[in-house]
Amino acid sequence: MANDKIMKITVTRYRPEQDAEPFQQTFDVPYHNETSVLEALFYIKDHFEPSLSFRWSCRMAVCGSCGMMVNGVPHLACKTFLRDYEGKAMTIAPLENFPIERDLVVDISDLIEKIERIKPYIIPAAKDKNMPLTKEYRQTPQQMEAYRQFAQCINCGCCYAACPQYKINKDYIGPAALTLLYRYDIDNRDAGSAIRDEFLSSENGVWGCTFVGYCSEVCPKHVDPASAIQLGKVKSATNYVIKMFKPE
Amino acid sequence: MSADNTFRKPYVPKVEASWWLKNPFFTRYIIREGTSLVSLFVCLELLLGVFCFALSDAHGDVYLAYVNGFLGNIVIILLNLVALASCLFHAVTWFALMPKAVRLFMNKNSTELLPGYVPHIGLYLALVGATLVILVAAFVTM
Ligand code: FES
Repeated sequence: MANDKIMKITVTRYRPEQDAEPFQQTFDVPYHNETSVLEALFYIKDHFEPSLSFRWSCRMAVCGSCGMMVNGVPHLACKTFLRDYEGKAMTIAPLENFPIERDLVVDISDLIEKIERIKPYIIPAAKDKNMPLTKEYRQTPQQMEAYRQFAQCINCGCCYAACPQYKINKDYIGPAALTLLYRYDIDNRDAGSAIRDEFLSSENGVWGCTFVGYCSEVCPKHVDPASAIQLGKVKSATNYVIKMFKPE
Repeated sequence: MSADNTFRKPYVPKVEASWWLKNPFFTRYIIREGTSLVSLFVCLELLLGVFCFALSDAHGDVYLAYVNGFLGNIVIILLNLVALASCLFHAVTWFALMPKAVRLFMNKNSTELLPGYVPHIGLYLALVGATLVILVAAFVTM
């Protein structure tokens, strides 16, 4: 790799068994046109610091394991390339707004709990309850297109790292979970809207969002959570008005 | 599971008061939110005008004092210009985000969504229209 260019990469380290707080370590990493940030981390692990910890699995922007801050912006390490930072230095830090477990590994259990909380699965209507498993639900292409984009989420947590509301209020349900909530709510096969409304319309639901919009900016799968949340506000407001005239 | 032999010690970084200065996107967002303070000033200014109008006699003495003495003040004029600029800044950034809140299909069967520039341009047209209506109404009733 004689012709490789070199990039200065500063990585945040944190070893809970010996460090009181995170610190920075800088490495010179050779790279070529196809080197991703994830590969650069492998290079550091193989050549300089065998103990460097980071999460990864698919290496192709599918599993959502490798979210981290690259120069202060949430990115998937496997989908971010050193060539795009040519001539600049690079800093790699763990995903913001999550507790740091070790080096670049953060604890995203809060995100996972919130995704579970909003019931991210199809809740059939009472009339479909006894529908045989061999019978299909009908869906037009338009009905599918309505939610398709919002179903692309890989739970990488980049949107939570980008969200100032989540930063200052960890009870906020947050971009990814609210997007999934909306995605199931508008699915024509689903009848769980009333059950999810408790989360959608709560203060920590869509109304906790002040439309910063950075989640949509950083989302590596172009899910556009900010859009789903604003549409969720429309839905929540409509529900409110309907309830006003039709109390149960 | 035993609690022994764990080195887990999750580190939770403190939220710094200056978090919004670290990223230009956040700085722009805080400025957008900050324009509400200037709007508050304009609201109080208009409210004061209404009070002065109500307190005036048939010749509008208090109200005229408000217009000439208060609104005519160079500091207040400058503040109002700042208010206008910040209000326009808010409108531009907000209009740019608004297409996210609109998700309509081109027709009943299409899978094609209404392009974002339609509501975006629509908002600008509404802004221009409303401004014209207010200006015309102001001059007609003068
Ligand atoms: S390694 Fe799977 S998303 Fe990056």
